[in-house]
Amino acid sequence: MKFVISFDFEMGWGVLDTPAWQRREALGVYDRLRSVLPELVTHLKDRELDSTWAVVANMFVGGIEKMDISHLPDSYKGAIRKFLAESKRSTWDASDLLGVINDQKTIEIATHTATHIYPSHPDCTSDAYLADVSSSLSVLSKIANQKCTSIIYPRDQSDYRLEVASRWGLDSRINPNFMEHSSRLSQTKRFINALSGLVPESRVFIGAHKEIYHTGSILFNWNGRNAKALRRAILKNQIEQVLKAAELKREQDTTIHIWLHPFNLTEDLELKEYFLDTLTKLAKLRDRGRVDVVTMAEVRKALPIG
Amino acid sequence: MSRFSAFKRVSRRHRLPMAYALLYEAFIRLYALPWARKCLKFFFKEERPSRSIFILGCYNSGTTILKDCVALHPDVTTPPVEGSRLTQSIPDFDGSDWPRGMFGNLYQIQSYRQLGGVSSAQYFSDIRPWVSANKVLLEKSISCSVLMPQIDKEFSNPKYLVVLRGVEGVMSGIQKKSRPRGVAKKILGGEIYPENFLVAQWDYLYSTILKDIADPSRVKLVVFEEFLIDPISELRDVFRFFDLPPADLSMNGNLLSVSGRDIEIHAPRADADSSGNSAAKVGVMRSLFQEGLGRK
Repeated sequence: MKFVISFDFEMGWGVLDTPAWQRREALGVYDRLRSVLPELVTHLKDRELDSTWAVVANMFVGGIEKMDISHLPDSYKGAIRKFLAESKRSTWDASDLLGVINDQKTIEIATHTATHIYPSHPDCTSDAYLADVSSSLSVLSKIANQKCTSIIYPRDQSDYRLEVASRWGLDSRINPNFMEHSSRLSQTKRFINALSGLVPESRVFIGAHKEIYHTGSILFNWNGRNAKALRRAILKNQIEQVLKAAELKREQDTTIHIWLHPFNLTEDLELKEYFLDTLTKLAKLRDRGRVDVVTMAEVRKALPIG
Repeated sequence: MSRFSAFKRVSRRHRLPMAYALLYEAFIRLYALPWARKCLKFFFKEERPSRSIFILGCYNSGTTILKDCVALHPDVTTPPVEGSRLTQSIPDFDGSDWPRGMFGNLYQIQSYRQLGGVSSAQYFSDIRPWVSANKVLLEKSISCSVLMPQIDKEFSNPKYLVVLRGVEGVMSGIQKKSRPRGVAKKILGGEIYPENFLVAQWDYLYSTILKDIADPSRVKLVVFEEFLIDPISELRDVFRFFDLPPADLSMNGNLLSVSGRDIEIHAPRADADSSGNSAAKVGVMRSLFQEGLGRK
């Protein structure tokens, strides 16, 4: 069994045009990231576990004057200015954390765009979106110690994936629902599957430009407004089932793609401990030859597509 | 009218009168269902063929016409459709969404090549209606093109007929006959397979075949374009290579006759294959492939 772990590292940028960042900032979510993120990376490093980190590139440029946001629609530009002006630096700037992830051989740095613009934003156009991806690649080429070959789409909205693929050939993670109907029946089926501990395997497809699409399997997070206890029980059951299958060498040709936002780990200490514990179990399984833990880039390297 | 021509096609494909052909087609479709196969196969005796030949190549490279022609030989028997439809021992990498586009499932293919295998016992058990003890079995599933190591391991001294065709002809044929569906349509972003996808698939399938050939003496190469020019001598070579007794071969217009059994051979449309320096390209392809075989 193969595991891919990817992080959407976005801090307040992911919700910059909603009040959510204010609530999280007030709760100290982004401040606590300063201690939780190094702990997480050290945990990964000590266990030699590979992971993909999709970063919002402008978190690392150090100030609005150094950010290229000219390509964005005015409404989103305004939202960014307001967000940067009103939020604490620790909510939008991750320059202090760059070294933590940048120096690790086990970490693949992917783009999560430059400003977390998303296609369903009413003023977002294809040109603006692509310019934002381009800007992120430009930033990452200067600051990252590796070439960026993967993208994780903000809000899992992959509307411009074909354009991104034809220009940059970036591999991407897409929402598992991408390949299913969004009918009530399908949603119910997915919920029942999750309740019974079934984990959808990550399907990996090749596109027209030899770009790779990974569907996600499990969002490692039980925080949210509703039914937290139920969500926690479901996630724990799913993780237990999948680790058991790996231990018993069942479904060996299956790939499981786990993804999460690092800041979620600061929202709930139990979630952080459970995630770190899961990583430890994965490392032990890997050491016993039961599983492989790879980055999205390593999936590409294993395929004969150049 | 269109339904009638579909029926006529079925009749032509099975070389049977229309009513019998339709009944036979219904049987094949039923047999393709795993639960029905489980019951139906017990009405047939399980036998092992004298030898097995696998046809390899890209989709739409002429593998079906070659299979049909070789199967006219009285000592050869073959399932009426791709074996991967009649048994689960050969995986169907197209799935439901990537007809003639297994390259989209490359990750699954590579995983299968690493971890999976084929079972000759299950294969012969499943396709028993079409196996005769004293005949050579001919199998054509495009999936086999990426499963040579698994086939070598599981079958006794298997031989291979590799059908090579220029990428332009392959592409235009696939685009004409197949459409990506479901998730494939979303991934590829359109109703037809993009050319660069099909080129990559062509490249992958032939380079995999070339890489996987363990013993070139068990492999016969046929270039489809050359076969169309002179089917008789190409077929004679094929029969000789696979140690099949010489058969009476004749050509009358589009009708190829092998030991009194006929098949119509249609040359591909001019716009598909004659663009550019097709003959020269085919020559280059053949020598590259043979050079690759020679290096083994």
